[in-house]
Amino acid sequence: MTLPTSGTGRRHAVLCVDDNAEIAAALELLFSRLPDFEWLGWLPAADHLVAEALERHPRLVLVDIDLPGTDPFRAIEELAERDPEVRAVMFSGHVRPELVDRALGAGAWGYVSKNDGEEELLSVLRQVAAGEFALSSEAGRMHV
Amino acid sequence: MGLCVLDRDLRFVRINRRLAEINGLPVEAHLGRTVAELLPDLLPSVRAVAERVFAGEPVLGFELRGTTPAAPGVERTWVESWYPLRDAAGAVVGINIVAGEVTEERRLTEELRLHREELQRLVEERTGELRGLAPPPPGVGADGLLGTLSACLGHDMGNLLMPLRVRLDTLQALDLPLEVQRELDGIRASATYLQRLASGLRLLAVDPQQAAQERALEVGRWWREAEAVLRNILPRGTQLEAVMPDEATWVRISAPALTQAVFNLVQNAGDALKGLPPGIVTVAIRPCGAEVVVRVSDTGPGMNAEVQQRCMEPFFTTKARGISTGLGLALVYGLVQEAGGVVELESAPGQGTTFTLRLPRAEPPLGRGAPGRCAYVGMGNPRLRAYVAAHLRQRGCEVQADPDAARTADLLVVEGDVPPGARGRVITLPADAPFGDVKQALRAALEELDAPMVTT
Repeated sequence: MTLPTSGTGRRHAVLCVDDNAEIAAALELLFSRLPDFEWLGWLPAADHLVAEALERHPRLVLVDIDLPGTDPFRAIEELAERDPEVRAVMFSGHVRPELVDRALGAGAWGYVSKNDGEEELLSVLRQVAAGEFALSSEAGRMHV
Repeated sequence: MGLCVLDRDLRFVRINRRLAEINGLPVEAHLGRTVAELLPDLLPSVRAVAERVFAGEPVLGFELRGTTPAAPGVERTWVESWYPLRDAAGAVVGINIVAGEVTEERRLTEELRLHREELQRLVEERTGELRGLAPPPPGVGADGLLGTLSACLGHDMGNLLMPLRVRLDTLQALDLPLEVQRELDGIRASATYLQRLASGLRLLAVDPQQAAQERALEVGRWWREAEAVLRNILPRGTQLEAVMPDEATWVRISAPALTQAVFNLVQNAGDALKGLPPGIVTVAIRPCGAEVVVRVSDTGPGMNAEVQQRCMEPFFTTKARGISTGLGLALVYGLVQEAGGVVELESAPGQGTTFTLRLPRAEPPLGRGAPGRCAYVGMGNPRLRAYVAAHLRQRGCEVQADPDAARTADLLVVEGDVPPGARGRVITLPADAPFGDVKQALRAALEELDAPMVTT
């Protein structure tokens, strides 16, 4: 896999982890047409997330939960320790209280349900990039 | 109570009227005659007991069974106590007998036992059928199969729809001929409908207990998510009509719980209309004082009095086994009761059925916060600071991180020392603690502060 050059810092550079190539392609399409995001590429598993993130310096990593290989929660936990400047946002169709809790416990700055639509996804990512903590509607309903 | 005295030859020496009636002969016909002559059917049992009494042992409270001339062919039961009758020298010369008939009591007890066995058998049979339908996966309540299917379908549809929407957006941003744009609008309408269906399916999959923390639900928004899945369970031709409140109305029940309750009622209404000319199922919601009233009614054949009385019982069903578990209405009852509401039923043969759920009305979740209230968050970890700030903003607070704001803040959330000059309420959270501990401590502290925050 070839990743483009690292983020410029002015735009929100995003690295995505999702084993569904269709979703990754759609995300690339989505971010590529927005002026405030920069698409850094995608990984089909979290195995090399930490290494790639340390290399590419994304501002945001958008991580699916249901992945083959390395546990994504463990990966974002390690990433938060190695580079606290990178902010992880979980992106999943599975939204349950224990998953939201686990993600936040592992160091995620946000949680987005794949069912909440692209507007909410972008809104959460923009808030997190601005230093805020954010959940999409469905994830918010599952968090107390 | 029957009384008599027998001599050593088991001859009646004395007998009262009651025992004579039990035996079916007049008093006079007994005297001087033996048990063998008058009650031959009882003789073997009488002899066995008499032997023990003549040996000097009273035999108390035993059951004697057999037939008498009073009711030939009918087995009767007596409880009797036999005492040795002694002469002046102490020798046993006869038997004093006290007898009471318990035939009817024994019959009723036996009938009850058989009923219990039958009931137990039915419960086991139906529980077995229910288990056979599907193993209930964890966290999806009683209707396991439905939960699993809904969760999988909802998830997969969500995964498929996301790329579809993004590609549609890309296409619609292009300068395409009008007729192509129209086609794209049609595809988008279908995608939107499927998205709602997926949302409804996910609401069915969530364990309502798990989502119980969702304290206030806006019914209009809920209906937009749930409508598609409800519409899809009705038979072809059946109309689903909705009457929703004009103004935003908040109810104290979780979205999955309300969906699962209404889903079961709409499904039942649809089943009632099957095989009949197309009917109408109406879901009407309106606020009424401190309650929100949810009515699900149909134009079906209605229920008779017996079905009305029993329909909330677990395992009760009028449908074929395998189609119905008999748990749907029991689940509705449980969900509504859990939310602090009640279920009412109106129905009559030929008049349709209306289920009414009276649920507690809720305040809008942000309305009771403190809009404009200023909060200061002084925490070292930027992510935890952001987390706490998001919580407070959700409660209507304006959040400041600037230490100068600490003096004027109404609420301060800090990890260590309180900034000098601060006059607001203070929540102290554990420093360098894991996320879970911070979350618990914050929640507990805010709950404690909740009442005063509402009243000021």
